[in-house]
Amino acid sequence: MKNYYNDTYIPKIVRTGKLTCWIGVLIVFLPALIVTFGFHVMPERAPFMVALVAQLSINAVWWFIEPISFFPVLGIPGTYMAFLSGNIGNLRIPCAAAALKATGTEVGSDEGSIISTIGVGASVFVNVVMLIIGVVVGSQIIAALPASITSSFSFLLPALFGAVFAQFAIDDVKSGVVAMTLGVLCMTLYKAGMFNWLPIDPFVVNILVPIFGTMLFAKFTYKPKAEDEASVE
Amino acid sequence: MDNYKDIANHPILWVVTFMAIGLVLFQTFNFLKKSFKAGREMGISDEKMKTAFKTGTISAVGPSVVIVIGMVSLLIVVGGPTALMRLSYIGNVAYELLAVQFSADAYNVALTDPVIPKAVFSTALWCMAFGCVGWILVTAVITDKMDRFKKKMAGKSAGMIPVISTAAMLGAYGYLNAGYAVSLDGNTVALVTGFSIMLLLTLAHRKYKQKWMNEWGLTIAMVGGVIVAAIV
Repeated sequence: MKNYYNDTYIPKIVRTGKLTCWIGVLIVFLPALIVTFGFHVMPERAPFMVALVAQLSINAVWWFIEPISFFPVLGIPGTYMAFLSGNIGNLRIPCAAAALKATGTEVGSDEGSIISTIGVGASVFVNVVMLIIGVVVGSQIIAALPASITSSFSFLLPALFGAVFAQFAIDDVKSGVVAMTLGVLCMTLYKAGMFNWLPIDPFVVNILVPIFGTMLFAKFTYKPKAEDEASVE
Repeated sequence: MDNYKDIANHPILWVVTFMAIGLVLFQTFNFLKKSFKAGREMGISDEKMKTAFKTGTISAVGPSVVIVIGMVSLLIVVGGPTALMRLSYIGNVAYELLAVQFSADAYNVALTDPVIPKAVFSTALWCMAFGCVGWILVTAVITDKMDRFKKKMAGKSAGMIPVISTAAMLGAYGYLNAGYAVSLDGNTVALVTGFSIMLLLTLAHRKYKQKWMNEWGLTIAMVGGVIVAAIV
């Protein structure tokens, strides 16, 4: 049974996954190329560099952190899908996690990666449909809503992140406490300027320390259960 | 945007947008078909896979609202096709909004100004493209090699994989939550309420085994968090 997953499913997924990602790389630049060279709207050199450096200094670290930290939950197929469709931490992971929980499937297993992929796939359809509706009538709907409602939209994201955190923390309370403590500690120290001596952008500390700190904590406090030993091949 | 409206909403940009969405949908259909087939081969019940699909569908609604709202702010500056493309395909709503902001800042204009120079538009397009291409490049190159890294992290014990996986997630959200936790305002209330509702629902599910508690949990927690934060 395990052979189908490793020998047939994954090789096929990797082939299609790589192909779609490389096509994705090309399409990403088309709008910029068309507007710059087709419509002759040239960016001015100096402000262009300023904006690009600002953008990359914020984004670039996530290119590496997200695939590594979310891979265990998504698995190989889920990773290709989540990163081609985007909005990973705020949409794909919550959906993968909810699918895993609703089916009682273990995170990180072969079965888990199938279930996560199905959860992510479902989210792609919902997101595309809602965005297409949104691009047509979104502005009118939001303009028609009272200000008291639109002002509370900003609370959607923290409420979502809190809920996703609870889904995982309940399985490992100690790691949950460590993750939150490291997160808050780093953020407080960062705000107080305690990391300014670092040669890199000090904000990176806020991201790296909680993720790898919690992983190491879990690794070193892990005690194998008797049943685990039997499951090792 | 009036001075470059025709370019920003040009049919050719719509064509590119639908190519991007077409690629995402093609991959999704393809992977879902393969995954359902593999699931059956591995002995995962159809009911379980249907539950996964249904839960993914329900859970996507709330987070997608956040993305649609982001798109509405985006399309005022970059037009419909670009806003739709950037939010259904690679990247993240927060970074796309930043790309527009950085570009406007670089030209010393405000996004609310009646006339925005055309160059802001093309600069934003380049920032968005360079800003998000890394995700897909890294994914294309390293994904199939990641299983080895995961196994290495777990060492000899297979039972450690789920433990490390959960810890990585907790760490990532520990960071994402930290900003809201230390701000001590409505965001903190939303964070704590969303967390508490989800915790209670998960515990209740363990006791009462009601399926809806898991399928709708995320949506209920999100809406609850927003309501409580708005009232407080």
